[in-house]
Amino acid sequence: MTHYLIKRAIGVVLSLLVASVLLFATLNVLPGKASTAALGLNPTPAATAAFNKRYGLDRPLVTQYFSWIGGVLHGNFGKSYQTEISISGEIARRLPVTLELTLGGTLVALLIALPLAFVATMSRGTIVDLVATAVSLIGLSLPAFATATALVLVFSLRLRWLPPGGYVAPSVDLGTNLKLMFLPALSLGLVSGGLLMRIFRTGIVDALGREYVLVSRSRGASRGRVLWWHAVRVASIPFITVGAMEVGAIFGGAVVIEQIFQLPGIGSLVLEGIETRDYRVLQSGALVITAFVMIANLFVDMIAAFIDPRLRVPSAQ
Amino acid sequence: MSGSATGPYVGRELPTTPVGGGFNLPLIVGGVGVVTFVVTSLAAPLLAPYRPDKIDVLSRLQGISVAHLLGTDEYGRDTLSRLLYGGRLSLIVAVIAVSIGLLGGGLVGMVAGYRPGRRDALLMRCMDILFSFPAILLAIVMMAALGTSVTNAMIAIGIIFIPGFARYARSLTRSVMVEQFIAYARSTGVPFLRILSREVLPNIAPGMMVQATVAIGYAVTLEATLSFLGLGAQPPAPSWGNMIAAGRGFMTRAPLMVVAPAFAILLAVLSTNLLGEGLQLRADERQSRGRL
Repeated sequence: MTHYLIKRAIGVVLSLLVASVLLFATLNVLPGKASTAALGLNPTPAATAAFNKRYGLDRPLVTQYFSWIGGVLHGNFGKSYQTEISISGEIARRLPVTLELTLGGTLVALLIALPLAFVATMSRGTIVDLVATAVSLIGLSLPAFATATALVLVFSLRLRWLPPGGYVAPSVDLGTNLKLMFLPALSLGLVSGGLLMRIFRTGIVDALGREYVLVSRSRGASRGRVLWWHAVRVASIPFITVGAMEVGAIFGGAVVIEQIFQLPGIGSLVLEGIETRDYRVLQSGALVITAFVMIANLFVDMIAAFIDPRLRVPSAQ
Repeated sequence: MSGSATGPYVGRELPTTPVGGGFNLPLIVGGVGVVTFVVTSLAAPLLAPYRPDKIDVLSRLQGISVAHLLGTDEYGRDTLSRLLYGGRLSLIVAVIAVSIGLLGGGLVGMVAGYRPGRRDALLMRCMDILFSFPAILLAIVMMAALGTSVTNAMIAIGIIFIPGFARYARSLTRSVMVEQFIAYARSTGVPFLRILSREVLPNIAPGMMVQATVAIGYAVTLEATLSFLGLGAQPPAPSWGNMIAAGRGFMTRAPLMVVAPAFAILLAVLSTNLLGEGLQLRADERQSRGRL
């Protein structure tokens, strides 16, 4: 298990380095954009040269990359081209918002997926099952931004139960914070919740149809024991595998959700970076999000390997 | 839980499919939905009562009426007409993006799955890294680098699909590669590319098409999301995503401006999901029948 963990952790670090190269290359192969954005469309050559020199943009791309990533490894993401604000400080300030949102979204997804899947399998073939399946299908078919807009329309503008956006830190006022985060987390979790419910339901139904369930039942094991030991445990493996992929979807969805609800998180930082053409902000924000997705994936894989010993042996995959 | 552990063959069927008979509800409902989506999109110029960009300031932000079945937007443009043209855009973007993913991913997956080894490991490692970026984030970054346009949205969404298709194509290819006719072809000296195109491709194509169907729905949501963020289709060109973005400012006066396109996205994506599920179900049925 330790060996497996170390191997996976090294894999994550290497993948992150490759990801950083990809991000940097994608955003920097087209030169001159940063200066145009900062100085206007027709800057004098002298101004452009001064700007590039100031931010080290006159150096070869490879040097620029290593100076950027070297700083990142020391926790220094550099300064914004536009506002001169330290990007590291900005990320540190915004990270808690994004983490609260994504954790909330994950919680909503699990709270939807697990009970619905159980209810659906318990009453398989009945109207309850059909309704649960329909709810999950609708949830997973509507993109997060559309769900969010619909929820704001109903709960904020019509019923006036919840605020349509804004952010207050939980340390300032926990009640207001939770009120403000409820709709964002709900719209973020619905999509993944719908998908995970279907995966879990299919997994349980599939496992219950296996012969070892029949054998176990015929040997006198109780229904509850069979359900827990043979169905839930077996069904949790595909559930966790898809869940790991959904971590990425939740972090990606957070970018859009933060924009809709005016939450000052990393996602809105990324979008601000695009708007102001500040590629250093954009690539740093994107790298941080990707890092969290990979770390979360590693964590999910650890849970899977804990439940299913076969996954610890690479050849069995 | 009653009846859940009754027999070994309760396994595969889904609740929406009544047991017994060849009746495949997801396939029928999804099929009808997808055909409607395709037909209304292709026939948008014939079906739309107005030009999608026809401005009529006097009748702005209207609700449902005979003249405007789904109301009008902030410039008095007909929402139904814009919806139809927006669907056309979604469909074109989705089909081209999925084709890019299908071709690129299919090729990578077939080459990787042909033989286990270093080439396979390297290719799939690259795919894993591409896969580990959140899809929407990757699309946003690519749109920032390429510039915002519909064509670039197709390319960005297409690239996002490559690793998923590659993984699937690889696993299908590997299961084909153990078949005897492959061993025969290889032993008689049929070249690598010919084996891939003549022996492997026909066998993995049906499975890939099922994946592609589901991917169309996902591509529609990605396109809508990019357009919603202002990174895809640019106004005044109608897209379901930018219609919702524009409608958010007028939700209290004209809720139809967001409700109508949101429903369109829901129906289009739900239909493709159901169709994909129905196709999968039919494939499973055929497989289990084959085993008897």
